[in-house]
Amino acid sequence: MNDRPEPEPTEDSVHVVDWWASRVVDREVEFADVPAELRAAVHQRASDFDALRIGLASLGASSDSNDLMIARAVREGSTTGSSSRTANLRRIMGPLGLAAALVAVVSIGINVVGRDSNTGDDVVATAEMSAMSSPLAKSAESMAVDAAPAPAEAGASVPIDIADMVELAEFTDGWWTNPPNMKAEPVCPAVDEMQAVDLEIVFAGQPAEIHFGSGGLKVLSIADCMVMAGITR
Amino acid sequence: MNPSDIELVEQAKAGDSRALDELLRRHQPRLRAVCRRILSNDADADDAAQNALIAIVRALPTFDARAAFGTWAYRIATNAALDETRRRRRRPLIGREELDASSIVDLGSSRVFSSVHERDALDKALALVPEDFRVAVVLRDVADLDYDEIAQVLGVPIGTVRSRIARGRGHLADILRNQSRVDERQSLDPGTRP
Repeated sequence: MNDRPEPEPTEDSVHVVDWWASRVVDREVEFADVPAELRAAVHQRASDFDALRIGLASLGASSDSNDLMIARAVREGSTTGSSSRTANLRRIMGPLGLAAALVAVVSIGINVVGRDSNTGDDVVATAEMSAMSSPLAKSAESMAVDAAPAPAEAGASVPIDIADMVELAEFTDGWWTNPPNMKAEPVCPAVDEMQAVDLEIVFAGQPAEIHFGSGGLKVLSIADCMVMAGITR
Repeated sequence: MNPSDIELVEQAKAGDSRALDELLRRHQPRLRAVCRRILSNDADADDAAQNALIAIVRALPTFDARAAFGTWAYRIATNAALDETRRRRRRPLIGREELDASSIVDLGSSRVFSSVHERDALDKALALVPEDFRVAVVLRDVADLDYDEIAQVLGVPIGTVRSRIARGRGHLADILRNQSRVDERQSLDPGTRP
C-alpha cells in the first residue's frame, strides 16, 4: 500500500487523474501516494467516483431472489441425463470410421479454438463427466419434480460421448447435407448465427452443446458456454 | 449461524437439495444485478441470469473451490451477459429503448443518487459506457469484487482491470456531468426546450 505503484501508460493526463482517483476510491493507494501536482484534480475526481460507487451499489442491492428463476435453473440443470446411459461413440465407430473421419478433418479444415488459460480453467479443467450421476444431480432431479416438471424432457435422450476432433468430424459429417434438428431452448446463447443442435453430447469429457450453421459448427461447454472446439466449412 | 458458501457447495454436492436452493437464492439477486447492469435491459438480464444459474447447477459438481464460489459464479454470469450482448447485436431493437445522452435527466449538483430519477439517470448513463469498461465497473461497484477477483472473472491482467475501472468511471462521470451542463443551459434558456 505504501510503495508507490507505477501508473499504466495512458493517453493523456485526464486518464492519469482518473487512474489515481479510481485507486484512491478503492483504497488501493492512499491519497498521500498521489503525486502532489495531481492531488487537487484527483481529489475532485475521486469525490465524483465515490458518489458513483455508492450509487451503483444501491442499484445492485434492490432485487430479491426470484423463485421461478431458481426453480427453472434446478430443473434444467438436472436434464443432462445419466452417465450410466452414456453411449460411447468410440464403441460405435470402427477403425474404418476413424480413418474416414481423419480424411474429413483434413478436407473441411478444423479450427480448434484454444481455451484461454486465464478464463476458463477453474470452471472446466477438472470436469468430471459423471455430473448427473452425482448426489447433486439426484438432488436436483428430486427438486425438479417439485418445481415444474417439463413433459418434453421426461424422455431424456442418451448423451453421445465424443472424445476428440476426429470423432467430432466423423459424427457431424452428414450434417452438411442432412442438417440435424435444432433445440427450441438452447443452454448456451447462439454463436455466429449458428443454432444449437438438439442432442445431448459429452465432448472431451465435458457436457457440451453443438451449435451448427451453414458456415460450420462450434462445440460449447455446458459449464460456462465457452467455445471448446469448432469446425469451419 | 448461516453456513458459508463452501459449506453449502459441499452439502449440495452431497445431495442436499436445500443447500443447493439456499446457495442459488443467496447469489441470484447479485448475479442478476450484474447481468442487468451489463446489459441495460431487464428482459435480456433475466435471460442471462437464467442461463447463468442453469450453468452453475450443471457445473457445480466440477467446482473445485480454487476460487471463491462467488467469483466463480460471477464469471459464469458475466460470460452469460456478454454472450447475451453478442446475441443482442444480431437482432433488431424491437421495443427496446434507444439510449442516448439526451435521455438522461438532470442529476443536480448533490451527486447523491437517492431518488428514483437519479438512479434511473445513472442506470442510463452506465449503458453508454463502452462495454469493456462497463463490465469492469459493474463487477467492482455492483458485485463488489476486488481487483484480483475481477481479473479472474475477466481473464485479464490486474493492470488491465485497474485501467478499465478507471476509464469506465471516468466515462460515467463525464456523461453525467455533460448532461447536467446541457440541462443547466436549457433551464437558463427556456427557448431551447422542446
